[in-house]
Amino acid sequence: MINEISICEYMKNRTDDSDDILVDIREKMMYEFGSIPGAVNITMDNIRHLYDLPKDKTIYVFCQAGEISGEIVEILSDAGYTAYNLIGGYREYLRNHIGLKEES
Amino acid sequence: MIFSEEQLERYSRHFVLREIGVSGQKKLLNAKVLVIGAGALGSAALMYLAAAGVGTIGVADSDCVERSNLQRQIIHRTENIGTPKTASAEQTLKEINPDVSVILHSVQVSADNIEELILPYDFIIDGTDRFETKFLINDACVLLKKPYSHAGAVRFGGQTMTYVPKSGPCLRCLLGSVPPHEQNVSCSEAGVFGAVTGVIGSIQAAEAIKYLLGIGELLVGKVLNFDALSMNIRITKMSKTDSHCRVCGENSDILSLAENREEYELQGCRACNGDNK
Ligand SMILES: [Zn+2]
Repeated sequence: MINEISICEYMKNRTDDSDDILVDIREKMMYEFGSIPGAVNITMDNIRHLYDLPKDKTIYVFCQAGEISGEIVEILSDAGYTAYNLIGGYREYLRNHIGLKEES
Repeated sequence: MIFSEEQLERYSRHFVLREIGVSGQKKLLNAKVLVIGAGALGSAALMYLAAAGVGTIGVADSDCVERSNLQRQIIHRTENIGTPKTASAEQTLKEINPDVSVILHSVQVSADNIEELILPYDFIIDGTDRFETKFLINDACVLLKKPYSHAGAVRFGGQTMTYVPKSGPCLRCLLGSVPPHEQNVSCSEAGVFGAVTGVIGSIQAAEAIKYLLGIGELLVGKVLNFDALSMNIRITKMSKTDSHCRVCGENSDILSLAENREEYELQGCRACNGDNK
């Protein structure tokens, strides 16, 4: 089984000084159009750059719906990384993000 | 297993397919498939298996590459005319995907060697063109409970069916026994359209991969017929295992290959010896 937490849980616990790494694996165009602040973009076409990520930090991975990111987390975990899949993906993030804005 | 950077790139389009993914790719890399006959059907099947990253691929063939093969046997190159088909196939497979270990069996399959040959493999692909050999492969797979893909192609038509032990009929359920030579038109004078063998061989590779991954629906109990002239594809459902089948039926009388040896021995058609795959 791969590590995973919901994207809402992740956003809740995230602090300004947390030094984990957030990876957006969606296509470059989608990333540029809008992503979670602080996320780096590693697309399937640049998949070899996964191994450029530092091994001493926790990696959180998301895609649009949280499925393909699970595959990436499996690859990273196999390679010795501490990695988590963000369940729900960017779609869920948007839904929540907008929800939070409306509440405040 | 840890994927290398090269493997990440190579298999990235599999990773994003939900039915395959990272775990499916691991299964493929650990799988063993044997292709009997590195001819026209075998060419397409072998190349797609290698490209997909099936980790161990066996190639069984005793012939050498001839110029008249090249019209359809796309795994072989002009420069390899005169060299064994196994070595020629290995060269292409290694060029396609160096991850794959290719095991060469440069022998004519027979009732004496086929069981030992197929035993280590998870799935067998029949890429041969003689009914005697097809029945030998069928009976060996039934007796050893090995799943395999049957196929044949002649002129502009091809057909294929997948056998999975206990799940559906075998070739003998369909055809009974080796047809008489007059109906056995897989000889050089019949001719075969190259692209047809490519279509059918590709389907055989797809069936092998689907079986290994446990995904989708196999051509078990279904015969797929393809005709390139009319572009008709017909799938005929076959009833469950024929209880009268001589090898997989309830009262089967073929209990070993040795006792049925005669049927597997090549009859007639010596004229096209060596060049009719
Ligand atoms: Zn049968």
